[in-house]
Amino acid sequence: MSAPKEVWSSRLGVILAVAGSAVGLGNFLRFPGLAAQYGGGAFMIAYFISLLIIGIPISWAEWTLGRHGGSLGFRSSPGIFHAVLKKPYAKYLGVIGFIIPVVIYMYYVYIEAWCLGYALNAATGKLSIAGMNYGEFFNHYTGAGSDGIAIHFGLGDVGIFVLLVYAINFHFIYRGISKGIETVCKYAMPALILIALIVLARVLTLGTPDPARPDQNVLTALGFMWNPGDIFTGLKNPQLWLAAAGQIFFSLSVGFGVIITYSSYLTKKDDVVLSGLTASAANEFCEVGLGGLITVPAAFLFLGAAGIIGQGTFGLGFHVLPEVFARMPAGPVFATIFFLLLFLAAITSSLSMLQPGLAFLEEGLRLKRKSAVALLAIVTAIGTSFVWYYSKDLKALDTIDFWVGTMLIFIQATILIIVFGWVVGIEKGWALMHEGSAVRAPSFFKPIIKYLTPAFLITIFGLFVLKNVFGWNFSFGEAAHFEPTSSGYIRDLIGPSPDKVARLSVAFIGLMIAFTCILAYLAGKNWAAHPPVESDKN
Amino acid sequence: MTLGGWINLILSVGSVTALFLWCIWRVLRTSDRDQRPPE
Repeated sequence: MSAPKEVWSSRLGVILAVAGSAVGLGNFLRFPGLAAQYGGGAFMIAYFISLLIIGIPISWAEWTLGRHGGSLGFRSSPGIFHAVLKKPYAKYLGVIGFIIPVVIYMYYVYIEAWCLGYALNAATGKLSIAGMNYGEFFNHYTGAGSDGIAIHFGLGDVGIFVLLVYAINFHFIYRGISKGIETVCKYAMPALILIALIVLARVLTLGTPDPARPDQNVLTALGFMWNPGDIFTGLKNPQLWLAAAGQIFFSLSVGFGVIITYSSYLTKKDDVVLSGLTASAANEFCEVGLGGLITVPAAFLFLGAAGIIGQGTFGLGFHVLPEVFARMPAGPVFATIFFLLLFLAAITSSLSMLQPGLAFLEEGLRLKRKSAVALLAIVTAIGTSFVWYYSKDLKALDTIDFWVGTMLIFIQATILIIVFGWVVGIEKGWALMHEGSAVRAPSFFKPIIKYLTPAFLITIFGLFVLKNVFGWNFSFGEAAHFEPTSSGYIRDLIGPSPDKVARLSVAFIGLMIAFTCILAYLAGKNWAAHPPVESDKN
Repeated sequence: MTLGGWINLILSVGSVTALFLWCIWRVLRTSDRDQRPPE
């Protein structure tokens, strides 16, 4: 079997595609909220340390393993692990790289539909109206108010946008790497940055929007986000480290299964060091340079600290910001382009989530592209329908996001960095990484990748599990206390009154894992019978 | 906005912007056919 002869048409194209995959809603909604919550100074120190210790190293490892697997004729995470490790169990280690993007796509595409729907509602004057109850609008529009209420297809409902974004995603993924994903990202990423700069210019020139509240001006708004607070006390807080490392980790989309697939379409002559760094830098620019200056300062300007504190990602994006835009001069225009920005950030990410699944179905089951796309559409549509129907309190979405979008990513990234630093070996891995490279990575990254990154990752993951699964109170000795049911995710499953939807969601994840393992088994048979052709042994 | 806030903002936003611009400059400067690791 020969691997699909798809390639990126330019280096900038693959960089924009990886950056597009990384830049998502979290850059503009989650990061600013966390930085403001934990105090700008300590959080940013932990954030940049995490970028150096886990973000960039795992990104390089994933780019390198992907390109190496591609040179051995494989494009998917199970295939690449199978080729690199050469062990019967290896393909099962890689199945997480199929499950994560495919399952996350199932609910992410639903959020993407909200963004497009909000943009069109704002453009038609149905959103950002002063005095409107945005919480009620959100609950009805997304179905967060009750199960099943969001399954309607009128122009004012989310249904039509779910179908539309599904059609757009599968149209471009069917067109392939270069004509589909690369084309979208080449236009969407510059457009996204341009829109963000326009909104940023608007926010920074608002002055003091309400003369009756002179304390709510641009400078105090920036101060709310960036004033350092008590740095030393902040750095002693393990939850701050968890939040900062988690944000870096999820924002860069490392350990996701996307970069490993994207980079498999590169050849040994293609650079991965500079490309990986550039994609990470693009994500950081959008997150810190743009996201950090737009959302929270804008919300503070109109609503003050009280309007922001306690708001999660969705609260900030879909409750607070529409109200902010309603109070802003030319608000509907800025609301429209801001939600369009979120839509562009989302679609470049959702497209990237489909490619690992498609690559595995094509090379593992030897399906033609049309059949692979059809099978992937059916599987993801089942998951999206599940999340869409069980929408009350966004329980299904939130549960799947926790177990797959958080836990599995930690596991996959840990596997990936250990394979790179210890199984392939840091010396060989370092040499592979620098084949065709345009710049050399500083050599101090070698011990970081081999020792510090896995240790840091395992520590952060351990803390995360202790807190969110075992309900640890972050105390030691006699003060230490564990109460698993204090975590909502565990209480939903084994608490005194378990949540039906949460249990169904976990069962669905279990089914997906079983389904993918069967596919991996079949793929292993196919690869044994028809070994892929090594594509560039130069 | 305190002095610490300005320092935090300028260092954080400045560093990621500078890194991004440097990376883009290097990518555009290095053609796809000329990728050799500097020794």
